[in-house]
Amino acid sequence: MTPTLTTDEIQRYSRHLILPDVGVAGQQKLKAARVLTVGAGGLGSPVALYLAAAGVGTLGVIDFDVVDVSNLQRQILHGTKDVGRSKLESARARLHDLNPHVRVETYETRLTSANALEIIGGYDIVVDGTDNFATRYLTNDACVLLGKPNVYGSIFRFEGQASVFGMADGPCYRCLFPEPPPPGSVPSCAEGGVFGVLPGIVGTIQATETIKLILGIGETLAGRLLLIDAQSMQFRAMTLRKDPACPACGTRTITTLIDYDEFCGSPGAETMDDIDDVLEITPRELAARLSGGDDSLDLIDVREPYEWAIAHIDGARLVPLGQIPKSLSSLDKTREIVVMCRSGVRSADAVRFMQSQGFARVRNLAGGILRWSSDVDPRVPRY
Amino acid sequence: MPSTSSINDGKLAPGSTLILVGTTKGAFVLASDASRKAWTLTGPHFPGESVYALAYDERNGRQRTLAATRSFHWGSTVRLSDDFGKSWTGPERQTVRFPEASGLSLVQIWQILPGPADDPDLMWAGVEPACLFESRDAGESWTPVDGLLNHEHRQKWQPGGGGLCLHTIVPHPHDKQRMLIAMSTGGVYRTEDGGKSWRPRNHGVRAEFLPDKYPEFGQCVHKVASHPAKPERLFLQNHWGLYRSDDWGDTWHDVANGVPSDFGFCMQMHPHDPDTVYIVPMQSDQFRCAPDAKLRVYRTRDAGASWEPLTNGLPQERAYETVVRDALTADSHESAGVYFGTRNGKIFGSRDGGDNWTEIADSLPPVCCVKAAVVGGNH
Amino acid sequence: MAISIVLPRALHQYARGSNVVSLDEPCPTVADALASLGARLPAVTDRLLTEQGELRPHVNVFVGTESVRFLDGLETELADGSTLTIVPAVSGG
Repeated sequence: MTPTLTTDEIQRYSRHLILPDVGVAGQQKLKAARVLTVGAGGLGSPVALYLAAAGVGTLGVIDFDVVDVSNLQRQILHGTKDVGRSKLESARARLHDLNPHVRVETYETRLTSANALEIIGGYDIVVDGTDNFATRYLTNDACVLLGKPNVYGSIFRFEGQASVFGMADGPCYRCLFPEPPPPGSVPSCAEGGVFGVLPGIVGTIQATETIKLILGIGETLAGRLLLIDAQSMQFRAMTLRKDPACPACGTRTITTLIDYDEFCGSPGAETMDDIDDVLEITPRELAARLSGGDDSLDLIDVREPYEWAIAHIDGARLVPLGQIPKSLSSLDKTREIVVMCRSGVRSADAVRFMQSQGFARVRNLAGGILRWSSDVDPRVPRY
Repeated sequence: MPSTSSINDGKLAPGSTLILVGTTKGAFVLASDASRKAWTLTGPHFPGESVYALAYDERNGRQRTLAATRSFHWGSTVRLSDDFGKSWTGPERQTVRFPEASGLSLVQIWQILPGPADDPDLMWAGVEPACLFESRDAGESWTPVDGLLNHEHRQKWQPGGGGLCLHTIVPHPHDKQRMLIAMSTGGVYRTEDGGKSWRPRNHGVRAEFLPDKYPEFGQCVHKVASHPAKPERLFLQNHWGLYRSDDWGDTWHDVANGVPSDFGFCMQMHPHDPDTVYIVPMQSDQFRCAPDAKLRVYRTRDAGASWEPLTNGLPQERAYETVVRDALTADSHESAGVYFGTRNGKIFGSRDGGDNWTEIADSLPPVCCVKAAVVGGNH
Repeated sequence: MAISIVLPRALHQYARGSNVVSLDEPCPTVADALASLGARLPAVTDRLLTEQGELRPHVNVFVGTESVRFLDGLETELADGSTLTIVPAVSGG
C-alpha cells in the first residue's frame, strides 16, 4: 500500500517533490521503504542521517557499542553529550530530532549467524557499515541468501571502497574477495587510524545508492567497485563481475550461515599457536590403511561441489565446509573420521569445529587432495 | 630513582627493566626501574599487524629492540628500534626471504634470538615454513641456513592448520658448531657441524597423534629450554608431554611429576638457577585454557623431579586463560622477574621468581610473545 | 609502451611517496609489468608478491577496470596505455 504524505511531510520534502525523478511518487516510495544499517559508527552515521533526512520511512540500526569520545572525530550521529551512552540510544534521539516522521528500529546486538536472517529478512535494503571482516562476510551471505541488495562501503586510513552487492544479476562481496581472511590480525579503524571525513564521503555514497535503489533511478554501483582516495581526491570505478564459481551467489553452495567470527579470526577465535597441531594423517598413511582393506574410516571432503567435480578421492563423502555444522548428526562420532580439502587448511577448520562438538576421533588429511595427488595417486588432478 | 616515563623520549637508565609484548594487533613496551613496581606502557607499535617475535640486543654497544611484524596484506618483516620503540626502522626490502628456487615463501617469523656475546653481530630467526635464518649484521640482512632449508625431511614435516613453524633456537653456549632447534610439527633437530647437517633428536618424545607413537621425527614440540650453566641438560614442553634430556637431546624422559596436565605451550628457565624451570600447563589440546580455570604457573626447583603450583596473585576462578609458546619469559635481575601474557590480553609479573604475582597490564589484544630484559644488565 | 600502476596508499612509502608509477619499457603481461615495477621499486613488489612470484592473498589487481581474476591472472596481456590498479581488501567502517 502506498503511504500518503502528510502536510508536514509535503513541506519538509518540498525540494524532493519538485525534483524530476523523485516527486510525490518517489517520496512515497521512500516513505514505504525499510532500510537496515549494520553499524552506527563512521559509515552508519552519515548513512542514517541522510536516509532519515530524505524520508526513508523505516530505518533499522544494529549496534552494540557505546559512544566513546574517540568516535566523535568521524561518527557524526553522536555528540559530546552522548559519550558513554549506547550508540543506539544516541542514534534514536538524533534521528528523531532530525526527522520525527521516520520510524527507527534498533537492535542492540551483534549481527550473528543466528540472528542475521531474521533481522535482515524484515528489510528491503541493507547498508553494510560494519568495521570487521567477519560481519562483512555474514552480511553478504545473508543478503545473497535472502535476495536483498547490500550497499557496501569500507574505509581504511585515507582510502575507501563502495559498491552495491546482492542484486539478482550482480556480483557479491565474495565475487571480489572469495576467501575470508585467515585468523590473525585484521586492521580496523581503531588500529589503523582513519581520516575522519572519509566515512562521511563513503557513507554519503552509500546513502545515495540506497535512495537510488528505492527510487529505481540512475545507475547504481552494482557491478562496479568505486575506489576513493581522499588524498589525491581520485575516484576510480573498477568493473566487478559475478563469479560463476562464487560459493555465495554463483554456485550457491553456501546455503546456511556459518560461524563467521571463527572463520575470520576476530578476537576470540583461536589463532596460529592454538591450531598448529590439529591431529593429522598423511596421505600415504591413509592410502596404506585403505589399500589394506581397512573400512573403519569415514572420509569427509569439505570442499565445494565444483571442486569435488574436478577431483576427489574414492570413497569420500562431500560435505561442504559451510554445511558441516548442520550435518553433524549424520556423522558417526564413534568412528574414525578423516577430513580433507584441497590443501588441508579448510579441513583443519572443520576438524577443530568437529572436535569442539565432541568428535574425538577426527583427523585432518595433511596437505589435502594436493598432497594425495603428489604422494599417492598422480591421476587425481591438481588444481 | 630513575624515571621510566623517559621511555617516551626513547631513553632508559641502566638497570631499567623492559618487557616487550607482541600481540595479534601490534607490539607494546613496558618499562620499569629495577624495583619493577610501576610500569610505563607504550604502544601499540605497528597497530593492526601481528607480532609473534621480539628480542632485545645489547651487544656491540647497541640498545636495539627487534620486532617481527606480519601485515595482513603485505607479508612479514623484521623491524629495528634503537630507542626502545620510540622510532622504528623497517627495511626497504623484505629481508627475510626464501630463495626463489626453494619453492618456499615466508609466512611468519616466530623467533628472533641474538647470538653469543663474542660474536656480537650474529643473530638467528626461526620462521614458518620451518627454517632457520642467520644474520651477520645484527638483524639488518638475513640468509637461510642451507642445512635446514634443503633438509631431506622437509617434504615430511607436517604443517598443521596454522602452519609449519620453527619456533625454538637453542645454541650451545660453548661450542659454536652445535645448536638445537624445534619445530611444530617435526620435533627437535640438532647440528654438530655449524648448521651443515641436522639430525632429529626426539628419542623418547611421544607423538600422541601419530599411529607410530615414537617416530624418529614428526613430534609436535612446543618449546625447549636450557640453561647456559648446564647446556646439555634440556627441558621440553611437548604437545602432551613434559620431558628432560641430560645428553643434549639424545634421549628424553618424562618429568611430568605432579602437574595437572602435561599439555602446554611455553617453558622458561630461571635466569640464574639451572634446576629451576617454569611452565603454564593447559587443560588439554581440546580445551586450551588453564586447567580447572585456575591460572597456575608451575615451577620445578629440582630439574623436573617435582613441580609446585604458583598461584599467589593469580586468578584462581573463572580464569579461562591461554598462554602460548613464546608468552612466558624472565628478566636477569638478581631476584628474577618472571612474566607472562595471555590470549585475553593480560600481562602478569613476579619479581621474586614466581612466589608472588601481580597483574601488570590488562585489555591488550591477544598476547603472542613476551620478552624481558634488563637495560645494561646482561653483558 | 606506457603502463601506469596505481598503488594503494599503504605502499606509497615504498614507492618514494608516489601513488602512480609509470613504466615505459615493454610489458606484454601483468607479470612483466610487476617484474618491471620490481626492478625499479623492489620494496613494493616484495610486499605485493611472495618469493614465488604469486600475488599475496586478499590483494586484487585490475587492468583498466577489469580484475585479472576474470582475465588470465598474472598472464593477462597489456596494451599500450594500460593502467594497473592494486586493491587490497579493507574492513573499516
